Amino acid sequence: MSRTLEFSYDIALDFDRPVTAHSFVLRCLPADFPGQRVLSAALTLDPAVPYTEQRDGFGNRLQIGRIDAPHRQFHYRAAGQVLRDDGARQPEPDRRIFRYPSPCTAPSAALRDAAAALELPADARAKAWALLEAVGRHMQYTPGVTGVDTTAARAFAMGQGVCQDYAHVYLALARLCGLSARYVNGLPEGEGASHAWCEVWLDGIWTGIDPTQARWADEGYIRFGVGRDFTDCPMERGVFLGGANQCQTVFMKVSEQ
Amino acid sequence: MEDLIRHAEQINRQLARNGVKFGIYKNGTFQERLFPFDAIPRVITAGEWDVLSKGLVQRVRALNLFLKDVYGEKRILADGVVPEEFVYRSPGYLAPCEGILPPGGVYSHISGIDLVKGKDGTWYVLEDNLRIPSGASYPLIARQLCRRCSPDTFRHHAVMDNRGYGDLLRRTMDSVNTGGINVVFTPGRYNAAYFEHAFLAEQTGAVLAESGDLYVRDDVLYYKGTHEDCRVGAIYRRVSDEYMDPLTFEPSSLIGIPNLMAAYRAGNVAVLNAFGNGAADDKGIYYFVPKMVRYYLGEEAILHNAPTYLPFYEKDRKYVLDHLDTLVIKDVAEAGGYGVMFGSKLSREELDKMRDTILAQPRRFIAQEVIDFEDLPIMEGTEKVERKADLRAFVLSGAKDTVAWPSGLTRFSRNPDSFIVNSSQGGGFKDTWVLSH
Repeated sequence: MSRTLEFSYDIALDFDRPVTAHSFVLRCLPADFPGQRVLSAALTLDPAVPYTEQRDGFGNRLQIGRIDAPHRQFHYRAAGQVLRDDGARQPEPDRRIFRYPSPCTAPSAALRDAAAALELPADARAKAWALLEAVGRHMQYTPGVTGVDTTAARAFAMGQGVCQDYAHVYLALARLCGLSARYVNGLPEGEGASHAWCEVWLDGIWTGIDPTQARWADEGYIRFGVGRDFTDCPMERGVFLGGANQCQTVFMKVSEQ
Repeated sequence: MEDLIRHAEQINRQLARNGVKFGIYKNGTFQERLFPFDAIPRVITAGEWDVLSKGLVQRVRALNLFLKDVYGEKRILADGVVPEEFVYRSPGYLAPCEGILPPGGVYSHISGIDLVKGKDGTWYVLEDNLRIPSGASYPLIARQLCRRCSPDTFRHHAVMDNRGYGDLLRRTMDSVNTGGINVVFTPGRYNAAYFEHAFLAEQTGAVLAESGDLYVRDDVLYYKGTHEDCRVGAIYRRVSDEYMDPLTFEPSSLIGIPNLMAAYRAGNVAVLNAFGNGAADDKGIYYFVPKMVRYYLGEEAILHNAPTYLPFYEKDRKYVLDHLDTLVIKDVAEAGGYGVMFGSKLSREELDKMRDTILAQPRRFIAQEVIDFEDLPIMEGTEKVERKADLRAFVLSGAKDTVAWPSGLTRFSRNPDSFIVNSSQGGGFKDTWVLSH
């Protein structure tokens, strides 16, 4: 069933003292992917500096810019409409790179042991689901105990984390078990924070699977970026001059048109 | 030659005055060391150079084609000539470089190929350095000083002039320059090769810049000039990939240029050498270079690799485990002479431990036969002694052609028992003469 989704994504970065020479790279606009067509998408920045658009090697859209003048806040808002339809997808090529470990998904001995101990079905789809259940059994959803640079090995050792950690642990295990699997970030239907999930290459289709919510990531999910792990496709990266502390507020909303 | 030897002390003094030093970190502190110069040159005959230079050019052309393929179509992986995991598991492979074609299609503009000459006269390649190989400035400045101290020596020997390196490098930069000035980008004076950065900037007429001098706006790299900012068309950077752009690589890097990757991806600046070249100079990938030559150029490799085994392949693994005590084992992730172990020097327990490590992580190591390479004479005080030496040859690739520089850095070990000649391990250097006939 195709669905037309309307999204808005608001980010406020507030600094406790002025910063300058602020360079940024955003991946906060969705791209066309098989099963996803962007009907409209716009980005507004405050301060209203110009930005350029590029694509990275994974097909993600980048918005790149720089704020020179001293500023205490950087707010941006992405909004638009996306048509999601997984019904008529044609087989897509595997990308072999998604079978190998990456900076955040390199397996530890504990992950290797866990993967080896799993009794998995032979069928790839059933295997992908069984791995999701294994991650769910091991991990407990706990905000605030992990950070953006927490690896799968570390999150697995703690048995705790948020969506990014669930995704990394899932990817580490899936790749150890011979699946081609990749990291996805974007917005699921609803309100709140942005989300991270995974895609597994099943019967030639990159199929969304959400280890945190223990469900297939269906047509209610809007894909913004894909990569081997978080480090390939963060929605925001920035550096600036000035010893300021920053506070980030995120609010997103996705609803059916 | 005797005349040169008489002047050795004077030349070393001049080198010191010119600041020809390299820095090392020892016990956590930065120390500058002189790089001892030995006045007896390594001599390469014209006939020998003819073969060597053809082989070097061929090898570097293949390596450039490999990098283009790996970050592009990936034909060589699909055809199974190079196993994909040697690329995707390599720490030098950088996913952010996927799909980027650098200006002129060149990845490794300045390649440093390390060779040794066996006692039978055969040259063997030991290592390809395609990231930021250093060392060209040493024979360059040494030659200048030698010519000044002993002009007669160069009147009586038909030595090819090596002083054109600066021009060659400038032409290489110009050929890929996208419009704008050339800069040499240095991490600053606490870098092992700072002397070289400053010297090469001078030799090429490029601007020597540090991170505070450069910025990116609208996907264009600019140099902050005294009057106005000017566009940079080519940046010869002497900083490792991971520190070059905190928005793409190591986020904590303070010595990089934010969004340099964006300017590069947009095709607005040539980066010498390109990012991600580590995918082709990994010690594991080395094994496959002769196969690349065959694959991309349809030719047999002119230069030999040292006989190398990959424990990754079962047949090689068996051989390596059975002959561990006679082989040299190299950890593919290490550089600068670190992570090199000679089986003959390991105790029984160490050999057993090594066997277990290889079995557990076969992809992490290569093993090579120890080449009995030629000794070169060096002066130790007034005495002539023989020491192991290697040669780093420099090959420059521009948009149109690839050229081997008729000289090179000859490094020798000062320790009579050592095969390791890296300057970070306390060796010295010689000039390398290529004879013109």
